[in-house]
Amino acid sequence: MSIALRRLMACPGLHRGAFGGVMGSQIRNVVLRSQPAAVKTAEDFFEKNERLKRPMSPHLTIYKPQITSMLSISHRITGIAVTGYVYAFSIGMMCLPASFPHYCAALATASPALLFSAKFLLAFPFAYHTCNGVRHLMWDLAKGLEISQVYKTGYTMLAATTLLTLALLFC
Amino acid sequence: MALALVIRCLPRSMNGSIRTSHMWSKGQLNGSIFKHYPAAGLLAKDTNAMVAVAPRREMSDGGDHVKLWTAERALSVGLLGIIPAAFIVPSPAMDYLLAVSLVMHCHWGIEASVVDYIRPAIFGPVIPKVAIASLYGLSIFALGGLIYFSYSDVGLVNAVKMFWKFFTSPHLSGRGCEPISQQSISI
Repeated sequence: MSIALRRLMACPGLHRGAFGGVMGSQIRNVVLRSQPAAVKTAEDFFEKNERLKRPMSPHLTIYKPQITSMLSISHRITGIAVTGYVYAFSIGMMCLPASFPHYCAALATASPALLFSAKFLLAFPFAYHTCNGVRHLMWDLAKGLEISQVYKTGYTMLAATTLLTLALLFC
Repeated sequence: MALALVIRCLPRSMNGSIRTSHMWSKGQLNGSIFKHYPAAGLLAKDTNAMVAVAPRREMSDGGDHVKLWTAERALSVGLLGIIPAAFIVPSPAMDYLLAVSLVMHCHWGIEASVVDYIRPAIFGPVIPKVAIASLYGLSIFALGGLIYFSYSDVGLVNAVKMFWKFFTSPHLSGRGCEPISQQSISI
C-alpha cells in the first residue's frame, strides 16, 4: 500500500471530501486489496549488455601508462617470472636423470656473456619483486598510501632494485 | 500491513545460476541489507519498488577472505627473513623451510593472477576450474621436487651458489662444479 493511501485511511473522514467534488453523492465503499508486485525475471548488468550485444568500452588500450600502473603490473610479471624459474627448476630436476653438479658442470662450458645474461635474468626479477614487495607490505600496514608517497616510494624502490641487482650480479 | 521492499540480490555462483529475489520486511531493513548495499536506504520510502542491485560477482560464494589475506602477508614477511637466512646459515632444515615457504608464496601469487585473469565471463565455466586445478598440481609437483632435490641432491641454496660462481670468479669458470663443502665460498 502506498504512503499516500495510508495517510488517507488514517483520517477516516477525509477521503470522502477528497473525491467528493467529482463523484458527487455517488460515494461507493471501495475495498482496497494490495498484492505483491509481479516478480520480473532478473537480469544483471552484464547479462543485459550481452543480450543487447553492446561492444565493450575501450579500457587498457586508451589508458595512459603511468608509473603507478606500470610498477604494479611489473610486480606481477616479475612474480610470475620467478615462480616460473622455481617451478621449472624444481619439476625439471625431478625429471632429469643426473644430479645437479653434473648439469652445473655442463652449464659451465657456456660463454661468459650467456652466463652473465642468465644471472641478470634471474637476479633482476627477484630483486624487483622483493623491493616492491616491501612497498606492498607497507601499504598493507596502511602506510604511504598518499599519491605523493606512492610516487616517492616508487622511485626509491627502483633505486633499491638497481642496487640489489648489481649487488647480486657482482657479489 | 508492513511495508515490503523487494530487493533483488543476485550473488552469482560459478555455474551461472541466478538466485530468486528476496523479500525484506521493514524490520529487516535495519540489518545487513544496508551494510552490503548502502544505496538501498535511499529507496526505503518507495514501496513496492523493484530494485536491481548490481551483484557482486565472485568466483566462490561466501567465505572469509581475511584469514587467507593475513596468512599471505605473514608469509611474505617471513620470506623476507628466510631467504637471506637460508644463504647465510645453510642447513638441510633451512632448505626444507625455504622450499615450503617459497612454493606457498609462489602458489598464492599465481592463484591471485589466475583468478583475476582467467574469469568465467571470458573463458566460460570450465577453463577457470581447469586452470586452478592445474596450478594446484604444478605447486604440489614443485614442492615435491624441491623437497626431493634437498633430500637426494645438493639443495636449492647450494645449487644457486654453485651456479652463481660463474663469471663472478672468472678463474673458476671451466673448472666444473664441486660441492660447496669442498670449496670456500663467501657471501
